[in-house]
Amino acid sequence: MLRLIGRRLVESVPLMIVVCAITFLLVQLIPGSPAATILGNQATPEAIARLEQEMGLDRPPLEQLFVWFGQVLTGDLGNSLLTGSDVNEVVASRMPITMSLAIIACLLSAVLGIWVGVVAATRGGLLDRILTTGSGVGLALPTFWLAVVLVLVFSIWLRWLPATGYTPFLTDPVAWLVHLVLPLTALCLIQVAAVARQTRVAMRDELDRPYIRSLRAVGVPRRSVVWKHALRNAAIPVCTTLGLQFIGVLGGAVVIEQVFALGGVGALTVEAASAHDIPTIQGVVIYSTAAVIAVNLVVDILTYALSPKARVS
Amino acid sequence: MTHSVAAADPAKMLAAPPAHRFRRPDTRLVLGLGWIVLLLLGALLAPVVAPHDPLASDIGASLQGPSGTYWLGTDNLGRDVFSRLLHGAGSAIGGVLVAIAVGLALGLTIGVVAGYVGGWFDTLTSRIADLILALPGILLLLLVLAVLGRDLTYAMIAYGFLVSAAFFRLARAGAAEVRHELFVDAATVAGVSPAWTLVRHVLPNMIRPIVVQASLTASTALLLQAGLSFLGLGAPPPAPQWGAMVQEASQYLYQSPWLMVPTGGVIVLTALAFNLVGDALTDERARPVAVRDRETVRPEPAVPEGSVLAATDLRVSFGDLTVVDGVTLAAHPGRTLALVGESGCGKTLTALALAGLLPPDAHVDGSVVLDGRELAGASEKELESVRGNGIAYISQEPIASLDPSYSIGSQLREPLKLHGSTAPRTEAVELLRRVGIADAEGVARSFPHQLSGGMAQRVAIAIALTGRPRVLIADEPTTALDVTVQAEILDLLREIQAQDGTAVVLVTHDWGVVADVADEVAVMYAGQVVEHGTVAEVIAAPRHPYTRDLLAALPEPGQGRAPLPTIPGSVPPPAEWVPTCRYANRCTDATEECLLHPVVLADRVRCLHPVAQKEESWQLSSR
Repeated sequence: MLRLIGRRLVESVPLMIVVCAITFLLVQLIPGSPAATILGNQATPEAIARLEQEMGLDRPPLEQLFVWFGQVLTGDLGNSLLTGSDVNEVVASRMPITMSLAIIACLLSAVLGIWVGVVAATRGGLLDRILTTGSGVGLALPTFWLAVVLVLVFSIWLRWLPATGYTPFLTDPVAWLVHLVLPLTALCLIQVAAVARQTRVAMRDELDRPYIRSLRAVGVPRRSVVWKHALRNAAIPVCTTLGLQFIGVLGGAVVIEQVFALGGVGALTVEAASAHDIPTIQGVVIYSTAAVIAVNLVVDILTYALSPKARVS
Repeated sequence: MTHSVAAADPAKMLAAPPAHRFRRPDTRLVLGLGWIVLLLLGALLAPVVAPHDPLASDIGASLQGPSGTYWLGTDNLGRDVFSRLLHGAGSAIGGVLVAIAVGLALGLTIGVVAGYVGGWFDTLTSRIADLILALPGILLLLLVLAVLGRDLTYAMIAYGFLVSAAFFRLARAGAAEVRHELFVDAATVAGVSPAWTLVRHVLPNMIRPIVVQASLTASTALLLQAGLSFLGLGAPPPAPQWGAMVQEASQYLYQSPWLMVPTGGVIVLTALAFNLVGDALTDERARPVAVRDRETVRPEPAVPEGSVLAATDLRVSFGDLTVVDGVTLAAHPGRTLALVGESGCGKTLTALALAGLLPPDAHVDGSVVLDGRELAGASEKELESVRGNGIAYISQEPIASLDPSYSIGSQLREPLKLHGSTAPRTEAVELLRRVGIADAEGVARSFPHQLSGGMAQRVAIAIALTGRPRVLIADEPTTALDVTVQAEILDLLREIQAQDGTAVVLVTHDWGVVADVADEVAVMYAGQVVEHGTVAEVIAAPRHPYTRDLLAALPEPGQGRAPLPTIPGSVPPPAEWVPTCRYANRCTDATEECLLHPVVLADRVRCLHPVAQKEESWQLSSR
């Protein structure tokens, strides 16, 4: 187990290097000067030159790359071009909101999605068709549109839930939850659809395998065949996609935070992108990659626990 | 050709309808492609067909609902929503195409080369693809937009780069698989250039998964693009863009909730259309055929004296296809009944029908009586109570018939508890010992993938014995095993039978096994029993020409290099089964009469011209 964690951590080093390199190269590869893009059309050549010098863009590319890696290694992600504050601090202050959204959304959609998928795979008939069609439509719903429609229905028409805002969990847990209900619903619906479809396919595969027939042949009741045996095996492929699901949720959070005025990392990225605040986005990308690596590690541990093959070999 | 394939494996037959039947085009494909074509036409002809100028505002008519003039209403500046959506379609579809084009171009070329060439290039590119798939995509796109400025084309190019990893995986897997196939080797030997081989043989094999991936990519690219546009990162305001239009609509939620409908609707429908195309192409599974009840006069089940399990006129059908056609047989305690025949004769389906283990879309007619209880048409609950202690089933794939995720001990304890065991742990180990496993404790702790085939079959038999069954149905229990192991497993079955007085129904195509362990034999051909009797009778003096030909086709020692005798032709697929003799077209004894009159099972044989007994026994003894 410890060896698995160690191996995965070592394997994630190249990913971090690639991400750092990409975030650096993107700035390098663009035609023209990033400084010019940042300052806009009306910038004077002197102003552009000053900003280039400030960002270190006038030095040779290889030197810049090494400087950049050195900075990342020492935890210095630079300062926001917009506010001038330390990128680390800015990202850290915004993380809790996004992480509570993303983690709860992942867990919730895993549980609901697996349940819907199993029911669709085993019941068949009309229910299967309704669930399959429903999840198909769910996958085609744009998160942002769904979010606005939820606000329209539950905040404007029914006045049940607040449309915007966030309360930290420690300040008021109930208010925290109330503010997260709509954003979570908007985020989860699509993920539930995705997980349900995957579970349905995986369950169908498992239910066709010979061991299912053998279990039925000795009189094992249907409930145990489906929920104990088939699902345990179907959960392995479903589990490996939870990492991708987390990436999806992070992407969704960017939009969701905008609609519900939650000041998380997603909103921060959008603000930074509109203002060409490159250091901040670089910081966000690096932190998010680290989060994705952490989630994938959890997924690996889950797979390890579920599959005896992975445990023995 | 397709016929013999379908006939060769009844399991495959269940999965796919016969290829020659006409298939209606998938509704999802029609709807999806229809919408996409409509949208493409709308985008191309927007300047001509749009009823209004997408930018012309009419403040007096702002935020109106749908009307004759404004089909989908107007926005806050009084612009026609329908015209704006039409004009926005171009950039929406254009962006999607850019993403797919970049993804395909990068992913396919590098993937095919990596899969075909292999080696370090393959290792390196595969690793990079894994890395790219693990990146938080939308954040990188935001970085791209921050650096390059507001133009969604850049974002879509970057997205194409990200999804190229998915296309790469498909192309690589396809190329690597095909590389190992013989025809590519043959082509290389024949002096065809590798590049030509790739284009001619490798690409066509990968088309389907790639089209599926492309349609899913189209849907995600569309949603992503609209999302970025919604966030205000697309083209600046007056330009009609779908995502931005939802954003504008969301500003006027109080005044005009209607605006959300057409703006979001067009995005949903388009994404749905792409998904539908992908789904339709992924789902190769046969759509279920309606089960039709046929009017049959059910004969009074004549349960033979002393039998524990008796099937009378058993019929199994899938839709219009009858795959088991009027089988009558009986199993007696302490005796073994063998079901023999070529592949595709319905032996396995008969065995599954006896155990009530047919797939849910199978329709069963006739009667199966176990100890006086009718099983045909019984509910799943009733069957559950019979399975295990009444009837148990052993399959031909020992390892695959064990659940890979649970230990052997746990798989024994669950049915033991079900059948009322008070000390399942010790009983499990005892059962393993009983099936001849020396290290019973060790095996109980291990998992199926750690066992050999023979060991797994012993475990499977132990599991089948947990409920002390009266009837044991064994479907080719030794086919997948080594010859030495085969004999051991047969000995084990014989031993269990001797101790418990179990009735065994043994499905096999191996006359050696029949001669070795069976007491009675039923020869099946094309879903029917064509001959039955004691093993001694049937082997010594087969009466049906099919049985005679099967026995004659056995390789015999001392034949030297003489070609193996075979029966010419193959078992016809169920769709071609005739009411007259089904063996007639392969039979050397067939006359015109055989093609005209239905044949019934009479005096143990279903034949108009049974083999004369004397002559046949003389032939056999003269060998």
